[in-house]
Amino acid sequence: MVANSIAMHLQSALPAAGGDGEGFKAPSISEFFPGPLLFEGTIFELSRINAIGLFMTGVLCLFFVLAFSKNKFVPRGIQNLGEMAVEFVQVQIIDEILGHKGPRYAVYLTSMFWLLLAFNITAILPFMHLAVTSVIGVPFLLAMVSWVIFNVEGIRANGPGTYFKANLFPAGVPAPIYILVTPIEFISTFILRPVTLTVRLLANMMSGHLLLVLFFGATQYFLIESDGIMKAVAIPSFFMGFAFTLFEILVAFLQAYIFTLLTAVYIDGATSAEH
Amino acid sequence: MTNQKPQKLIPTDTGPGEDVAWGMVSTLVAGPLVWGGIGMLIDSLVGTTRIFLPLGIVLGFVVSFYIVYVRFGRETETVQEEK
Repeated sequence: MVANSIAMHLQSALPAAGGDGEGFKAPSISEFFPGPLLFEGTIFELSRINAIGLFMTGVLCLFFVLAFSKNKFVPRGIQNLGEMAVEFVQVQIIDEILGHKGPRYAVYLTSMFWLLLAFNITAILPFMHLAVTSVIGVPFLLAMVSWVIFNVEGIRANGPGTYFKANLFPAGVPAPIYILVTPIEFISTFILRPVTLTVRLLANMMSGHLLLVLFFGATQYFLIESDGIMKAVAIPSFFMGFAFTLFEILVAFLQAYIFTLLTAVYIDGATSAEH
Repeated sequence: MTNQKPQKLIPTDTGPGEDVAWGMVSTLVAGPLVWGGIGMLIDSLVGTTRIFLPLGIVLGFVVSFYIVYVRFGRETETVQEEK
């Protein structure tokens, strides 16, 4: 009953959205395409999302340079934090999945995890409120780099013949059935892997941002622009927004973890002797 | 590096488990996609309307399930037999 009333209230306000600036402004896809910030009209045009990406990359580089520029045997201060950061990825992902093959990929996987976390967490950071990974370019680029690495490493470790045979012609299948099986295996392994890596991260970060905008937008609308009892709806709306902000921290971490973990799993699968 | 190694937060089988889950999903998506696409192509070449497309989708599903069984089902059976 109450939910219906709120929904009708919001619906009646919707036509006003985008008009004279009044009424409830529902979040849309345009959230992810902010206008130019600097160098408008040139090839160096910088949007807010690009600026956030550059800023977070700078922060991350500065952190690791400061952490490891003056290495001491007994770590203190920021070096301690830096070592914890590296060790987390080393223990939770690299040792766990890649074992003795780990050191070769440690730099890439560690950089990838912390870069993704830095890009994801901007979704809830004050003055930013937009995940760099919520536009397709960033997750797609990282997925393509992972795709190139696991394929190149797979070919290098097994030779092209064995690698493609293991991936395209699964053992234990009668030879004529390969006509049906091999095209599916090709699409599944070589096309859908980078696509699923990209879409999983992108969709999570986009939906998280839309939910936050929806709840905080509704809070502002009910509190400032609605009358009487409807003002009270701002309270649950605010708490939902707050709850989803906390949830976004978990999502930011989890998505960075899953992306890095799956890259490690793909590399391990491609380079393992059983292939 | 610090002397104390952090505790493992994630159980050992999380990685391969994730891989199996996403491997199954991508195979089940790829099957109807590939054979449905080929069906659609045949439809447009032969001039029929939506005959080979549904056939391709069904064939894709069947082959996908077969691949999932071959890739993942047999391995599970072997592990259970070993136990």
